[in-house]
Amino acid sequence: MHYPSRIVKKIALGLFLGISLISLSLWVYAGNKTPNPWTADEIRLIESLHIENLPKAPANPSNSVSKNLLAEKLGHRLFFDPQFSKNGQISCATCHQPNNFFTDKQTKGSGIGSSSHNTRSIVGSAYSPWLYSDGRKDSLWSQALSPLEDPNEHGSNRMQIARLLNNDENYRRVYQSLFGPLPDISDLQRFPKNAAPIPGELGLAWRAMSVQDQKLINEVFVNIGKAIGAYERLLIPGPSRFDAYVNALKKNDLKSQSILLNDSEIRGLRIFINKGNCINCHNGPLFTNDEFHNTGVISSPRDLPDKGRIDGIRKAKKDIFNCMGIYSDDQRKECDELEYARIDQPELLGAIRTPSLRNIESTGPYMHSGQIKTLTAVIEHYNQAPLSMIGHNESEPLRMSRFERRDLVAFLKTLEAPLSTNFLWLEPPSENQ
Amino acid sequence: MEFSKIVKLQITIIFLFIAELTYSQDQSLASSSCDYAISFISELDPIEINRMHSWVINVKTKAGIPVEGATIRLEGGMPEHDHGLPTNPRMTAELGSGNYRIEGIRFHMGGTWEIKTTITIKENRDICTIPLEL
Repeated sequence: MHYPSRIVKKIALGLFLGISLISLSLWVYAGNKTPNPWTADEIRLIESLHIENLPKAPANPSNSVSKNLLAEKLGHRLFFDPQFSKNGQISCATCHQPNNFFTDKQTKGSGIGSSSHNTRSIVGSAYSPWLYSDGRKDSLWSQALSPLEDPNEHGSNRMQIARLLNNDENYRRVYQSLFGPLPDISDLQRFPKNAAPIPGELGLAWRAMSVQDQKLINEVFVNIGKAIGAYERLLIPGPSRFDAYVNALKKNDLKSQSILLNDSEIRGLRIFINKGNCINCHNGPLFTNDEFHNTGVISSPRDLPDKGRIDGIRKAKKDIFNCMGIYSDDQRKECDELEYARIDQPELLGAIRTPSLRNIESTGPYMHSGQIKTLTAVIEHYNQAPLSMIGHNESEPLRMSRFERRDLVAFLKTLEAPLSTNFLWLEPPSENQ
Repeated sequence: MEFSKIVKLQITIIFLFIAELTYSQDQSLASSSCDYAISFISELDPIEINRMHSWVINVKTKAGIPVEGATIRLEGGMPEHDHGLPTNPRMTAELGSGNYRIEGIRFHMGGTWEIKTTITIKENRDICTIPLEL
């Protein structure tokens, strides 16, 4: 009785170990198996993401200087100039750092105080009909005005900006050749030192001004935005390793394909266009549809859930600096995006604008308030598709294995590439420019 | 039993063949579970995602007579993804001969869309669905 029992135990243990080993091998093999060739449908989807599909950056009809070299140069200088801030130390480039693809590697932007949101890259933003995560701005020039007066960002004000331009000979000369004469604001009775239509003292000073004088200052302020917008339009992503792979795919060059993307990255691409549903929103050559989706991202600690697009479109509609407003250069006011935007649909609640995925590895933390720190954690979030704190999460749990999630992250890292913009635009302008 | 199965299969194949033939004869033919025969021409052909554009929708009776004086409302979405159109398109002109211009159309995802066209003439309202694969 004693012996057979020990033998049975040994056999059982052997069997158990053997089966475990075979299962483990199969599991690892399944996670690493070489991908099959692409189907015609998959090739069509992969090619739709190719950077060569990106047209030349469109001019903005609401900004008559959006393709003007002098305006681009003025915008370049303004972008890097910290004078246009409350403490003389904050420029657009403080958060939108060229070395970090115009982001700042921080959870939330840091200017005079802490910004309410994560710094989004502005690379390729000329293609987007909407700016900010809730799309409350409908042009680059109009967007550029908000941080200038945000007390936590530049903390400046439009009157201070008009004075700075007036007092700097170089700025004054360039401004006047682009937009005509600057208004005479030497009369301190009519034009206080600082004023802007925001709460507090600045607002009191602003409201004491006549409507005509307010308009004169608004025009200067808007023109500053238009020059910055003209500069930002030049920031265009460059071809990545993924794009080189698509080139090889188009030429049916199998050898280059296998050199350009490894097996894990190819499996990740397959997940991106199939099981992961990523391509639904991250589509086209910029990997974004520029639309608004609720994906159940939990708000940062101490932050209320962001209402997203439902608030953003209301703000955009009543913004005096929108495409239909008096400061827009679009004479025909053909503002289709604003005109045909959805306003009150429940699915806009908590919906956030899809970001581009180009250079995504280098532009974390992720989500509109930097809530998620790593790409692996972002993929984990989409894998789980948690209930939304506000509104309804559009996405569904993906049931991706650990290997699949790893492969997807590997693919996303193939989207890194230097900008195709001339490097001179990526550095602060030299004095003689 | 076997024989009836074969017959059923044959009927299905013939039906699918006819459906395919009809479809390829008129590319813009819309589905017609409604009282009208509707078709559309897109300003963008083929339709691309993420681009704002307009359509001209043609409405005829089943007997082929153009429908005049209608109001058209266009809605829709992706049944698989539980969301609507990203824009709020609007009829901007009646062009005559049963043609109506709808502006402000944009699709933001590839896949299966269902466009719900509400056709109102005086008190009568009918909804015709246009299936769309992008």
